[in-house]
Amino acid sequence: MKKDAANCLDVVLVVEDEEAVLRTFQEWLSQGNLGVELLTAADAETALRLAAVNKIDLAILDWNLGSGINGLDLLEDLALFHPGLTAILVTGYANQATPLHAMRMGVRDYLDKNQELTRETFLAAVKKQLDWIRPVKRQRNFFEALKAFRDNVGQAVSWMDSSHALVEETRSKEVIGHLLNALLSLAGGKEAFLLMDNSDSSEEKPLCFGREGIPRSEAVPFSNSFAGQALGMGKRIYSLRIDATSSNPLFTLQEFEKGHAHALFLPLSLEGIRGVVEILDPGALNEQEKQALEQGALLGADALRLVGKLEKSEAVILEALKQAERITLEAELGSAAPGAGKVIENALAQSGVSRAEIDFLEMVRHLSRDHGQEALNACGEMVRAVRKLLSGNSEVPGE
Amino acid sequence: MSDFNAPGNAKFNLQEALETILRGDWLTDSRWQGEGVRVAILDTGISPEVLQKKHGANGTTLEPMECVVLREQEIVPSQGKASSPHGTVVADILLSHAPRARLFSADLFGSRAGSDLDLLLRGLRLAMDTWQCKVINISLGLSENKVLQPWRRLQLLQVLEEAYQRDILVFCPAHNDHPTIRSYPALFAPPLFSVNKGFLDDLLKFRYRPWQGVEFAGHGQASLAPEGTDPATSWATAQVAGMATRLVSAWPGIKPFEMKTLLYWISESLGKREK
Repeated sequence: MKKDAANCLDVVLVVEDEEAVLRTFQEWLSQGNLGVELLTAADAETALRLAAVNKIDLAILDWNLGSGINGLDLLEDLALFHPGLTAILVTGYANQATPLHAMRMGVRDYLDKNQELTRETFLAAVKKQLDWIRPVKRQRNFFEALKAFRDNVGQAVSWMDSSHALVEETRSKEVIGHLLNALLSLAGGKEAFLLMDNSDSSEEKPLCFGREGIPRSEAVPFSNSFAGQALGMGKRIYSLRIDATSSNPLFTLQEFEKGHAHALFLPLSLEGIRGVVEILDPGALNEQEKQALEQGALLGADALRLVGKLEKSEAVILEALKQAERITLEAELGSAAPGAGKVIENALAQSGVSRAEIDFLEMVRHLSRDHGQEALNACGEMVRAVRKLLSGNSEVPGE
Repeated sequence: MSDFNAPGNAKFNLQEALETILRGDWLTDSRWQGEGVRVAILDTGISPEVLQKKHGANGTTLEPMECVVLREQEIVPSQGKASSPHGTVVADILLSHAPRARLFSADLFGSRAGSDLDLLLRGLRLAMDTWQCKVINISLGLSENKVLQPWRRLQLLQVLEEAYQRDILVFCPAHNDHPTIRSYPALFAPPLFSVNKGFLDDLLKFRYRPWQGVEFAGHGQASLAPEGTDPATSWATAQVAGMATRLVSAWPGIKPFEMKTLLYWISESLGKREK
């Protein structure tokens, strides 16, 4: 079964060169119901080998590991594999330890072998560190997962973007081209066009596709065209003379219809989009040929529907991925509080504090953090001097 | 002879009505032109401008028309545009018979979403409840494969039966390839008027011909339809509906079965005239 990264056991590494002590620690931890996975090593080399292949959350290290190496040295080496590793040092020489250096290395507790090292005190110390580690670990896991997800999404977006751009036009283009050529060939006509609703146009002028499969121009609206009439008739195949209807106030000739005598229309059932194939000057068709044309139009409509669905689903997935990418990026930048950056920006805007003022204060804060009170005092001096200069007033109130 | 045939003021009396009809003078009487009759056209929308221009040229002033487009979630004014010329051809036929009728048009074709049946049901409710129309012309049919679920057919039947009980006359075309392909609502013939196309040589001619779920056959040509096209059930339906609209102007409260009886007798009388 795949391990859930967020819920996997905490891994505790115990390094102790005295076999009896190691066994005792092992027993205590096994029986302590702490929900941990236990790794043990009797020397530094084994410990480092384990650290190289395992993720370690807490290290319990003996101070004196023999061979001239101590627990703190080992911790320094372990930190190469697991930066920020938390450790408990077990020592008989607590007073000899260098607490500051040890703390910097990640040692968060000491257990003194010579003073009341019992099962209870040992487990209490381990539990205390695990309680500290677990939320931090959860957060770390979350951000690692988030980063991995965002990386994957980023890759997917770039892949979808390029494939979408590559495929979108050619797919419809090819299907429309094949459909018109096939129907034209069956009908024995002079030219064939596909008229379809233009979803981007509010004027309801249909798009007109030629046999090359790309939109040529906007066509006469269905309200005034023979194609619209064909759609309204609800027939699978509809033919009429187009040269003798110029006086009919209901109809306007399409540009491509001019100079032609007859037209044959094959309405396409396209789920919410109106479409009709128009074939100019078709040959005399027998019933069998008409049926073949009807079947061809049905198949063509299926193909167009499929292409439409593919393109629509690709567009939806792409949008979802882009959304996910935006959200995860924001979550990463805003650390633990996704969207916090925006909240702060809004608060600043409302407070009237400018971005430049915030940046200046930030610079002062960095100086103070890096160089202490002296840097802060120097900044104060400079501010007073500038104010004096600008106001021309020698009396400057104290800061 | 009583003055029962003065438009709009008479209680329907079958015997007197038949006498009037068989005399034949109603065909040319200017009072029988659909005055006061509200007619709904559930179709592809209509173009009032084209209709006013055409009928205005004959000296007729048409009643104001109300035109809307039914969309998935809303009903919007049509702005004088139709989704296809089809509905205007239907309206022209109706006005040719009954130029004083008031037309209400619902464009069921302008929506790119929603099922056809849903739009038709909404159109029927609009015509029955909001517009209070006496005559409803539906020249668009739904082939059987578009209304496969029995409960959906029942939904449609219930609305049509309600129309029947409210004395509303609903006219529907058989499929153009009837009986190879059958379509709704025409298949619900008893509560409505289902019409097939006939090869008749006169606008006023139609036939009573109960056959394969369809009762009437009307003239399948239209003056505004593109030339060279085959007869169509859409036009035949509007021809019979137009004829009925004229009769409604004489008997506004006429019931569907009474209208069917009159149409039956008219078709017989016209048949005699044909001889």
